Amino acid sequence: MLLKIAKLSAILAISSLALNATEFNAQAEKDRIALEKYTIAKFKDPMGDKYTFFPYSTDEELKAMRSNIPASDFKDGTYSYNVTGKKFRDDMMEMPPFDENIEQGEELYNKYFTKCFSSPEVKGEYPKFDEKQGKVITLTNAIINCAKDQGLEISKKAWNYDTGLTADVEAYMAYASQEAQKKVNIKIDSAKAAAAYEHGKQIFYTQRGYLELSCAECHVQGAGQRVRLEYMSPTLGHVTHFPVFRSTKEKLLTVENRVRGCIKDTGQIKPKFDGKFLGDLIYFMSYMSNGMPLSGPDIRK
Amino acid sequence: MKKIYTLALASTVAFTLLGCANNNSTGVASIKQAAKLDVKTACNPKMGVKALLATAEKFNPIAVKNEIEFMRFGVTNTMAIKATKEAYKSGKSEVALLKKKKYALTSVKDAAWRTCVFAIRPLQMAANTTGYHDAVPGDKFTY
Repeated sequence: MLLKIAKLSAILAISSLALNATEFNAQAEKDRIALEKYTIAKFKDPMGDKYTFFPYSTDEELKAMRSNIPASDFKDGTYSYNVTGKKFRDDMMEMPPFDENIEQGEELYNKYFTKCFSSPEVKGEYPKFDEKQGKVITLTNAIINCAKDQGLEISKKAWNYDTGLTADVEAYMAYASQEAQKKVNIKIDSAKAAAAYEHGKQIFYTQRGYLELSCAECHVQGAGQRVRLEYMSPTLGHVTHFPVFRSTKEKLLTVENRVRGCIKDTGQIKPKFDGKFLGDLIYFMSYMSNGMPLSGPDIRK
Repeated sequence: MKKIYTLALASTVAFTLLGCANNNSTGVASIKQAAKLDVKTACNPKMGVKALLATAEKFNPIAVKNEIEFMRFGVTNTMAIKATKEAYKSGKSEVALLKKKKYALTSVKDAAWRTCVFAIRPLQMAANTTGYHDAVPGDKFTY
């Protein structure tokens, strides 16, 4: 009788834990599915749905745009629908300019980072919510923290959050994760993690800067619309292809660098690299790509 | 008689302290306080450069603290306030509000108005904590 009660209690405890775990990401999952549904609907027939989704685009632009795009193809960001841009990127990928970065990243990883990461194939698991520190840790944060622990120099010329050696290690980890066919796998396991996600979501959808623009205005409602010569990228698949080699800067850059640059463009100061603002925002953005294949490092103009 | 004096003294001290407390509660700027303002009235150029800069100096530190300070062409609002204040004090009519291109000048009046608006608007945007739901697919955003 006692054994039965013990078994029943154990089953109840395990199932309640499992239920709680799913409860914490319930809202995030609802948001992700809704965003995926919206993005797929938007690019199903751009020309036919011009007045619903692309009222400011020309017919020529919409005719040239790829249609009926499956969800997983949004891993390529803007190149999932920007056919001309994709051609430029595919041409560049014949001799990727970041090959040396991956090689150097592999050397650095084997020298310094095997103590901090279980495997180089963990890119899709970042950012993570660290319960002890009570904040989101992005892959860049984790690399920098590990470098600090080993007494490596943190400076613009050595290990930094933007580019350089950190981006090289990230490039190797992204490449290894892609080769192992890993997917984005962000977890929300606690109430604090769910709160960080909600904060990130609020930042993403709230207008900011003197231009009073939200991230969503360009990357949800504005995705696929042209600004000067560029087509704005969708939120779905935003983080899958980082670090990115930008041909205009001739550098491999982290997702933090890109997001901070975008925030600056709205007319606001750049947030701190290891602060709550940027961490929570990238946490939200990454969850929106959950389940998508990793495709980094990649090239952008 | 002594009792009356004591009572009068105690009342004066109490009223003075209460008055100070009230002044402090209205004097200390907050996001909530900024949210209630009408920017066109609070930053009316007719108020003069000095008043506009005072308003900017009152609210901008909150934007800085919350990492939402406005920045234009590499110049943060803190830098703009400092430059405009210096130009105003030295009697100049124009101020450079560009980090690199020093030749591009703005009139001190316009610069003061801008610093005032740039100090209040980020706080008003931050105070709107529910409006973002309108843009979320699956929430209030419909298509």
